[in-house]
Amino acid sequence: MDYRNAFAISASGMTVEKLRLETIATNMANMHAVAGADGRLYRPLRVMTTEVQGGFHRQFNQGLEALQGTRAVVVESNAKPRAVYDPGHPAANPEGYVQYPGVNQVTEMVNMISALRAYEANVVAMNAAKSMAMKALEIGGNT
Amino acid sequence: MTPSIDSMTTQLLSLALDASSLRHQAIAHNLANTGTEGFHPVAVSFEDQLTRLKRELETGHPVQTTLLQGVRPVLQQTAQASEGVASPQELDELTVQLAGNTMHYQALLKGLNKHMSLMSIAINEGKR
Repeated sequence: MDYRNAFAISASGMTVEKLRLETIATNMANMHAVAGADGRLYRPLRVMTTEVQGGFHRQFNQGLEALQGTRAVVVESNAKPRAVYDPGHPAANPEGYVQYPGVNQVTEMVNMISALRAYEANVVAMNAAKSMAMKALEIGGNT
Repeated sequence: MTPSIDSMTTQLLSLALDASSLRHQAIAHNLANTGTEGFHPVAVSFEDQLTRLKRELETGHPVQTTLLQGVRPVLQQTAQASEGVASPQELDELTVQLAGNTMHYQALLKGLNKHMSLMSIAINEGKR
């Protein structure tokens, strides 16, 4: 497995973490959005990552050149909307409750921090791969 | 330059070095345009021009420098660009390409260095 493959794997990890951050930012921005004219309430987004072609261990054993890291897909979560009692609100239902998206701010903040740390971890992995390749170039000394 | 010791290697190495430095320019160009609307990334075509050379090497015969005729690193639009899909690349993807290309350039330089040192040993009659 050459160093360029190691770089590509780390790059795919970084892309996924950036996608995760984008979904978190979207959720936070739409935290207090009530249902629009079409009656659809905002549902919090999550990023689901799956292995490519099941079984990383199998790919390593085959020495496959085209290791593809992870594949990410953005899905809507089924979190229950928050109901806030506010009879004077224009969007209140007949019982006086207003529906807000089920975005848990604390959970989103924690997810954001873990996405940031995972991104840093991928950068560290890439730098380690680069150091290894640089060291390999020193074989044979300076002539 | 007269055909010296294994001029095929020096010619191929210097072509690869040219390709690598052109690739650096392409990556820098893409980096500069990450925020541009409707931007088409550029790439360098070089390794795919070497298929004839690879086939010849697989037969096991020593290769002639005539196989390198017409092989030149050239800038071209990426495959997506020719379909009309504008997609400026992400920052981290480009940084990774830059790191890989720099590594490749240093490895090529090292190879050329070692090859030239063989010639200098011949010139110095084995004395260091």
